[in-house]
Amino acid sequence: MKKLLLVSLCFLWLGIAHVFAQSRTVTGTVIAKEDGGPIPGVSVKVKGTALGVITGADGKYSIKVPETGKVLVFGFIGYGTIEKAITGSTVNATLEVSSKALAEVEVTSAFGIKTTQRSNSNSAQVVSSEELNTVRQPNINNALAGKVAGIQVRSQSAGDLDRQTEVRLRGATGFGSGNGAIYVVDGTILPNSNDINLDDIEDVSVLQGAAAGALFGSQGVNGAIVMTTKKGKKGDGLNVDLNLGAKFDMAYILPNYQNTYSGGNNPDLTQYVWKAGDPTAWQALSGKYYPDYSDDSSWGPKMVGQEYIPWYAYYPGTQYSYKTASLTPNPNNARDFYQTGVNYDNTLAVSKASDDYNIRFSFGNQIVKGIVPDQDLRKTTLNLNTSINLNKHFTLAANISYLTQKQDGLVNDAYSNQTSGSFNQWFHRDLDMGIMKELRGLRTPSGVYASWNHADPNTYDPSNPNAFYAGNYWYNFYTYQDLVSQVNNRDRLYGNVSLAYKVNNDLSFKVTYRKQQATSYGTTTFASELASSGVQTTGNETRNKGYYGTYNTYSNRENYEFLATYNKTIKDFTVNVNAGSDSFSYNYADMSANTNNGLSIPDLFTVNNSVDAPTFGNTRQKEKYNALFATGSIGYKNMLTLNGTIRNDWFSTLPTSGASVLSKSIGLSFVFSDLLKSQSSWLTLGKLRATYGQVPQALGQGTDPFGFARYPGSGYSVSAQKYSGSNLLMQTSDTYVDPSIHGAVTTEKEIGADFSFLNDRIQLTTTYWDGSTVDLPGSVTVNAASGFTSILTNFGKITKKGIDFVLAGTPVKIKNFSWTITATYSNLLRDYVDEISNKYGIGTITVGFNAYSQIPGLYQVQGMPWGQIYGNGIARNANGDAILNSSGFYTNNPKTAFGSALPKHTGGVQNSFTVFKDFTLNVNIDGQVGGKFSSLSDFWGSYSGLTARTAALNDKGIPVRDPVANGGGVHTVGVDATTGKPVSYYVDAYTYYQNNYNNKTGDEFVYDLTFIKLREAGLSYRIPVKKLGIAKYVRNASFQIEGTDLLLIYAKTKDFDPSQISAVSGESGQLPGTRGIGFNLKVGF
Amino acid sequence: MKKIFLYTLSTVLIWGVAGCKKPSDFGNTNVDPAGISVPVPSALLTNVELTLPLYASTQVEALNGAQYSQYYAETQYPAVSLYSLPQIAFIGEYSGILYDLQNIINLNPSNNMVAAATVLQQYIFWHITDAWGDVPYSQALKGLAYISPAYDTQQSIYTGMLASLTSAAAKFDASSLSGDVIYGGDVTKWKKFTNSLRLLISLQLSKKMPTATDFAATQFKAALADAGGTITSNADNFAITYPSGTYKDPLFNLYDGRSDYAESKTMTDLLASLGDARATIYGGAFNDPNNVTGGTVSSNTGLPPGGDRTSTVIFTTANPNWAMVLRADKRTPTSTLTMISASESLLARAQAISIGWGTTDTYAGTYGPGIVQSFEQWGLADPTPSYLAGVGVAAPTFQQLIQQRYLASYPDGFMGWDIYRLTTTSRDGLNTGTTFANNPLNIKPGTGATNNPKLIVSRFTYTAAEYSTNGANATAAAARYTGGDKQDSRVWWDQ
Repeated sequence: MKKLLLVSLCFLWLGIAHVFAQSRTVTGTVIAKEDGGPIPGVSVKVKGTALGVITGADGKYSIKVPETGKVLVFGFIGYGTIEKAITGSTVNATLEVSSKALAEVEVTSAFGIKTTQRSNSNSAQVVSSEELNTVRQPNINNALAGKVAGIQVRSQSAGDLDRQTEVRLRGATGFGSGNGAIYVVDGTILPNSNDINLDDIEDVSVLQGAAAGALFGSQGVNGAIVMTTKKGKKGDGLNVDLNLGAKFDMAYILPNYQNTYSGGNNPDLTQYVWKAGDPTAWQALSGKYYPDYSDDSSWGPKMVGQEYIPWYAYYPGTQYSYKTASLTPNPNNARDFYQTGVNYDNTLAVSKASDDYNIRFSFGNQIVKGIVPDQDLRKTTLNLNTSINLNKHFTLAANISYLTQKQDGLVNDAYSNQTSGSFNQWFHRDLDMGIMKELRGLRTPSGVYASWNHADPNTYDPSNPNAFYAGNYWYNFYTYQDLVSQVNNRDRLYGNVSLAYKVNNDLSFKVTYRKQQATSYGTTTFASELASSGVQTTGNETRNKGYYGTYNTYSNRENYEFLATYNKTIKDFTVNVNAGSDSFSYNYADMSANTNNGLSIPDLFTVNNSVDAPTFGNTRQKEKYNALFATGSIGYKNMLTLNGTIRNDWFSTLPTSGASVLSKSIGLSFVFSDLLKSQSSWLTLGKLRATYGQVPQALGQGTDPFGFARYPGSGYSVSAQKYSGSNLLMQTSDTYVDPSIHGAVTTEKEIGADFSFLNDRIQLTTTYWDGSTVDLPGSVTVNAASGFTSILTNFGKITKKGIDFVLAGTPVKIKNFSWTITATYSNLLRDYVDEISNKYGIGTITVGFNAYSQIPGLYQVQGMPWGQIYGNGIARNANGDAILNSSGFYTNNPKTAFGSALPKHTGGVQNSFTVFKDFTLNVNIDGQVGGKFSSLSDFWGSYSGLTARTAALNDKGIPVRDPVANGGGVHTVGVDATTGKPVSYYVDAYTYYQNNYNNKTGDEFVYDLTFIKLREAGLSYRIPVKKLGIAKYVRNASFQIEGTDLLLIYAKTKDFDPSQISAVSGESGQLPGTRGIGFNLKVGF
Repeated sequence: MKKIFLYTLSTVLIWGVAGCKKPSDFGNTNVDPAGISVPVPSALLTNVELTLPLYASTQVEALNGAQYSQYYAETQYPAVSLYSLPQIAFIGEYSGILYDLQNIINLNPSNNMVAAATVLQQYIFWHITDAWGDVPYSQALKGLAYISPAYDTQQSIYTGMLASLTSAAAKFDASSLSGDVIYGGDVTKWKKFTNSLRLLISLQLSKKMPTATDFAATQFKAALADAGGTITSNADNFAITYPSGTYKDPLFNLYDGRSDYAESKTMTDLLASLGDARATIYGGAFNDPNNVTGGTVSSNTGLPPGGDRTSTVIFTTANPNWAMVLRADKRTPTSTLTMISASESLLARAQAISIGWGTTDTYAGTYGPGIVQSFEQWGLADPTPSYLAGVGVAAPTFQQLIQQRYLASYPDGFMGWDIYRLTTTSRDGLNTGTTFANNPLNIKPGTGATNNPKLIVSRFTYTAAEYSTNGANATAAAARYTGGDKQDSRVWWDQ
């Protein structure tokens, strides 16, 4: 199995057949030691020359060897290399599985240019298809987690269908929330990581640092994740590969809730006494007691099984109508809401190749049912990858991917959303989610949907009964999902067509046209009944008045590339040069329209049915760049390699005077082990490398690539909403644009060493890097009393450095058992905001909050590590003691720095255990240490009495909610605000948690991002097709049981999965962390 | 064959060269087709005038002021009513509509446009300085010339505002005034508004400058003597009637979706004690089925202000007819929102009489008509003679006068807070001191107040952003307050 999977790697070998005087032909067969079968695609080279061939499907080769040739070198990725003396006209070889041979791995850079690790001078880790897909992951980012040193993956809950995940390579830079790496598929730069079928990926080169990214120019400054897709394999006839998977996701990590006190703001139950005008049936409830329904907090009475009137008792027509119940805890009510998500992920690929062509076509299909009811995602991908040798000079190649996706359901994890936004922030802890589900869609005779959050019965007014039955802030969670709909459709076509002209073995030219076209279309509807079924529900979500919105987007990116390649070996020197041009254009447009303030005719979903004038959006953007580039290397004896890259870009988005920018890098690779070969048999490879790169950037930020119209600014726009139909409205821009604006300049240097011991049994790679970014183009926040809120200019300096390690090896390899391990670790030694703007006197930049600016958010602060969680905290004296006022409350310091949002240590361990050849257990663990985020959920959840801490025991062992006089209360300790003397108080819990809001002390709601998790585990069984006698029909087959996010082994916060925090600043009400269990069947025909 | 290759190669190379011939020539690729570089001044003015009414309704100076002066109380999540730290940013007001007005002034489209923009700027600056105290003024709105503008003392801001208003009043002429959705370009009304604003601003200095010969009284009398006149009739009110649709009365918006505010018991008690007919207008019942869409059920069940969350929620639950701010038919999407009224202008003149500023006014010409205008403003029948006699028309007490000003300015919480602060010295709710310090409105701090000590808020504090973007100037300003940049420190005219 392993061998067959690795066959695909054979096409990375580009044997260069030089024409020399040849004297004899040597033939032979290469077989695998593990099963004695032939290995196709093995490179066979004559030692000391560049002569080489590749074995065919039957493992046979034939090579012409010059008189000087004495030894043949057989090599295959994953099998290491062996040397055999040429003793006759037949030389057979047996290869043994080993860890990948470090020196032979090929690294892919921009424009599909490949170099070997041996000659490469940058930090570049290559992840093979097999390593990537030990367990099937929904996206490339999750699949890379822990497997690459220096990567931090910011995953998202599986409940967030189609939510972008993000990776950081080597920390973060910029004065925003940080920009991630670019994603490149067969040379085409994609604007995001979506839309890639991982089953189509052959390997991934993760390029880190400015030097590695220089060939990409501005875009490559934060590194690149370069993917190569699978191609047809020569010589094996028709290949059909089927990959069937199903995964089941369950809610896993939820905040810790209290389960002692019920809902409402009244600690006591109130007696209901029937009065004239109340519904007659309510007489059955007269004299019974009810909690405060209308308030959406949980500061209610203790749940001790007492009789009470539940929320649903007032509604007619159910088995619960007019009946009391016992007030008991429902500890799993939030968890019970989330259903088991299902993810079917299937790919069928056919491929074929011969000497003149290769073709591979894949069809991928993904059907996902989310953990929130009524949410699903359907995705189909098609990929056609082909090349044809037209004749001995011309090769025509095309690689085309098409994706169509439909997502249904309102995925919302923002503040006050009608699922997690309620459970975590405004909720009644006593609610029974089973009954909630049972009463889904329950309506009163007058058409109001039943809510757990209706009014209190004493307010019932027979002239206005709906005011009682309607939800004060919240709906039945299930009903809500039924009444809102959000459908997003996306179609995307990307790929390239190229024509290569090979003049001779040294020189070739290639023209490539690349295109990515994405269109999307979506509609959102909110039923009109939401308005009549809610009292204040439209306050936080105006769409609950009834809403229709729709949008279309169009995006087209095109590149015209020209590439000339020259390779020449002259005696001991090898020269490789790639030079060319790249001309890019980007065209984006969108149209959107939505209703405002409700729908005139209920549930007629059209823009024209808007109560107020509808809102229209229309964006048009164009961006272009032209680039000339050259990259090359000079090698000496395949031992010492000097690499260099220059690239000049001209950007349409920069002022004409500064539109031309030059990126450059230079590096040196020295395989010193070649000098030691005679002395050491244990050192297979020893390499030192050093590199320097400098990349100036365009003006891009966020998703727009190069910063359309940031310069000279957007001018004055006009609102479509005229006053009284005639008066135009216009506002002055708040940003002043510096006419000399230019892009940031990132400089990075690194040194590294790569070692491979005992014939690649142990490999160690280490890199130390040090970089800086200066002159960041950004909006300097200026005091808006000047009339402007910001000046868009260049400022600031951020410096970073770090050290990365990758250790891989096979610690145990005995008969019937082997254990391979890859461990990555990186330490972000520094990622620091040295300066923001001394010139403008700006020391902090506000980046973003979790919906609410009064809890700590993300700031950039001069003289502090990048990305501070910063803002309202507890005021402290010089010793760090909290300052208390005379009521025992903590006092406010609006400039509290809680620490960087970046983890300091990241890493992972991938283990693979193979037992009896056919069973393989993969266990992948990753984690990070350090980094902060702030939680709006806990902030409001504590205000509302939902979180466990609001019902904890204090240090005297007495419930904090008990009266202070009885020993209860929250213990606050510090020094007195006026005297400075140590003081301590017990503060009533309700008052304490509400005062965190009133007095703006957010310390309790800032958490640590540290975690260690078992991200992936899989147990696979290779079905012995030969033994079963089906080898004729089935080439290979394997079955795997697998799990994702199986166990959060350690996390400082028990309330959230720190690997899935929705925003860099923290979370605003995010969906729970999930755990997935599934299986996967792979069959090759 | 070989020739074909060469031709192809040449084509490729030529393409490559041609593609890079003028690599930096992108034409107008980077120009946003959705914007123009020169603004339309009238469009800027319209935008400002539609934002301006927030200053008399739901903008923070007014909304918080309404709670401090106990026009309103919070119903479900009390925080401001409990004097939570009012650490609030003012800078958005500068870069927003203040700079839009400055843009008009800089563009100088006509004398009237410049004069109107200048007057509106002073109206906004008045709110900002009264709420925070020392703020940027003379160096503000100058763009890059002062990116960290100095904070002026409130004294110099008041001097500047009154000087600007005086010159603006004189600048109005026959030139065009377009985009004016408040007065429709009627310069006569603009002059009256400008002069009324001068009255109210200079009167706010009366505690700091009580004497008839001082700057405040001089300015007051100059405004009164201006040939343009002051607002004496509701027809001249500085007010806007909204067209609905996109542009709705902000007080309608206050309850469109949420019901966070109630009329406070302080107000309902005062109205009840006077037997004041405005009680039918000032409070609308929450259990009115049309409490948002325009019902007519009044309520005099004011919410006790300043109770903690538990007692507040218990009160509203127990009293489903609690009073919302204004009866619903007075805050519909098309209601009129008044910023400066005839009543406020007349009653200011009445107060000037009572403090002996030596104007030529009489109570008969200002105080009585001021009350009448207030009733008429809300569509009520004129107050009965017995009501007027009860509130002391011929010779009102200081308390009666202040109560009438307080009632007339409702629901503009900025005015309520200004009136309250001008007429008290201690913020602890006690009735002590002289004319300007006897707490005539009898406002007491909330029992659930979370600040320490439980004093009614005297000013907003500067935000962290203020210290980070304009640190030296903010720090210098903070040092000028006795007690520093705190909510209990006093702005200059309140000292």
